Amino acid sequence: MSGVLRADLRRITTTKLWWVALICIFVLSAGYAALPATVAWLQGRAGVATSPFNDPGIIRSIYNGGNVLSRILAMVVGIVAIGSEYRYGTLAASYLATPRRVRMLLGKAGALLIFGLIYGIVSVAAGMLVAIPFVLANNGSLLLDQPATWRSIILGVCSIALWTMIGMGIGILIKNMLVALLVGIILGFLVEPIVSVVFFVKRWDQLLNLMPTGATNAMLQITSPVLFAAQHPTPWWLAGLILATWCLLPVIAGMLSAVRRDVA
Amino acid sequence: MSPIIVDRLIKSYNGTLAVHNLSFVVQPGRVTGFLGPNGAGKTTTMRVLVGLATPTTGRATFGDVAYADLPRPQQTVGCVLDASFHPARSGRNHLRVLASTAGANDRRVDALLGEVGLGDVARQSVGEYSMGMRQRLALAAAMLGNPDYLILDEPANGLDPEGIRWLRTVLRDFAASGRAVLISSHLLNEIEATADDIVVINRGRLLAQMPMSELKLGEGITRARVSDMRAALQALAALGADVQTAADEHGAYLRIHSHDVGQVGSALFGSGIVVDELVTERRDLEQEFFSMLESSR
Repeated sequence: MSGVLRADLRRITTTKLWWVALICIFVLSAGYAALPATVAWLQGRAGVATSPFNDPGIIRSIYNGGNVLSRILAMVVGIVAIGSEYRYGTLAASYLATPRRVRMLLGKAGALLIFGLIYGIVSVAAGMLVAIPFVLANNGSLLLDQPATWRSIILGVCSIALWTMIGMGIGILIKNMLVALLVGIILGFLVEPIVSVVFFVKRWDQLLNLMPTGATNAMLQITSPVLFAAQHPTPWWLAGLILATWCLLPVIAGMLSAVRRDVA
Repeated sequence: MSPIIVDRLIKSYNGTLAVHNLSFVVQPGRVTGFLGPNGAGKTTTMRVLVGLATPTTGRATFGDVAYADLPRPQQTVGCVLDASFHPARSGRNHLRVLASTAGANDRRVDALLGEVGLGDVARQSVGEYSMGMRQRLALAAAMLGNPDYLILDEPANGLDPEGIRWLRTVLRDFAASGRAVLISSHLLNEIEATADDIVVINRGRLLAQMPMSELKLGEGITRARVSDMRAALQALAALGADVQTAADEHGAYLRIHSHDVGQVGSALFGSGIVVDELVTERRDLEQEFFSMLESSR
């Protein structure tokens, strides 16, 4: 198994996308973390909220501010990891090296999860870097002494890693990489957020909690309205299960279809 | 080492038979040429053999083990199917990816790149490679695990004459060490120069499987144009070879069923006959191939 995993780690590191995505995730996460931070700061100045930078929900929202964007990029890396194999006809060589197809796909999934974790760590680290000046300037706290903060950070990292699996699933199911990218980005960037916003505005919390955005927010215990957090989120562990279902269903469906399919 | 066994293989795509009840054997220690016109089912057979396509019925195995069941596939079978690579990956990195599962290290990768003549371009992206360089890289990838079997689908595509000669040596040496080679090619003279056995298929069916030696390609016909046909017939009767008269646009000539042009020449010279033309019409694999296709219609 280690050889299969190493092969797929090398497949990822020998093309440019992984570090382009890494840089994008760092920069965009910092930008997206600044959004809830700025809103909280304005609320604090206007007197709407008292000492927002001591509010665990706000602090967690800043740390995980980059999640919405990082998970899309993680998904893109997942789509390209399998899509480029179809696009450039290298899937045959991969299957020849590891003819047990489930094993070959699990190796790819493992390598993607490892990169997903790295992206998650970078995304949350960018959020924490953004939080520091706000907290210092407003007499707040980074709340790193609270287990709930760390749980949110760790789950935030894991949720981004899970999104690589959505990407891999879409990449297997839609063999044309460009179409898969288009579908993934439209679903993840437009359809899902718009539906979530509708649920958020209508205050249909039960439905919102079932969406990837709502599940992620509930899992990370994010409360910032900027990130469309539900008023009555599900418990974090249930939210985690909902998100895992969203992420794992496509990849399992994809694997099942790929195992028997002839390679063109 | 066990032979490659294709046993009553049937593969149909949406009701169309690509391979129909095909059986043949590829022996170790020999190069087996796999011949057939476009669409005959060669590529399909090879892809079923290495597990990329599932057979409708029948089997294609190494000994009695299917490719997917080989414990160490890359160390057992090397494949050159289509020279497909990620264009942004370097040749060296392409091999390093495959080396992870082939039990090969970076030193082996670099040595192989040198062997196939890609040492200087190893770190360039494959997108910049010529067709011939891609074929060399594909062959290096097949060799990574130092396999016992080589499966090659049109490996000479895009190779320059020097590359083709190099490939021939590689395959001959591979077979000489007791290992098995199955090679398809549309270059019949190339197969003629390389193969020990041939398997000919058409429309998914086997037409012939035989050693090249049985084709008796050397046993050709000698064509002679002479000043005096009758005298020549008399002179050649002593040779014991069958002689016929024939004619083409240049006039009448003799067909002597012997490829020993020296013997024919000296017989004619001994009788003082003026010879205008004396050539061997050597039968080659191409003629055999087309006559097999003809007789199968």
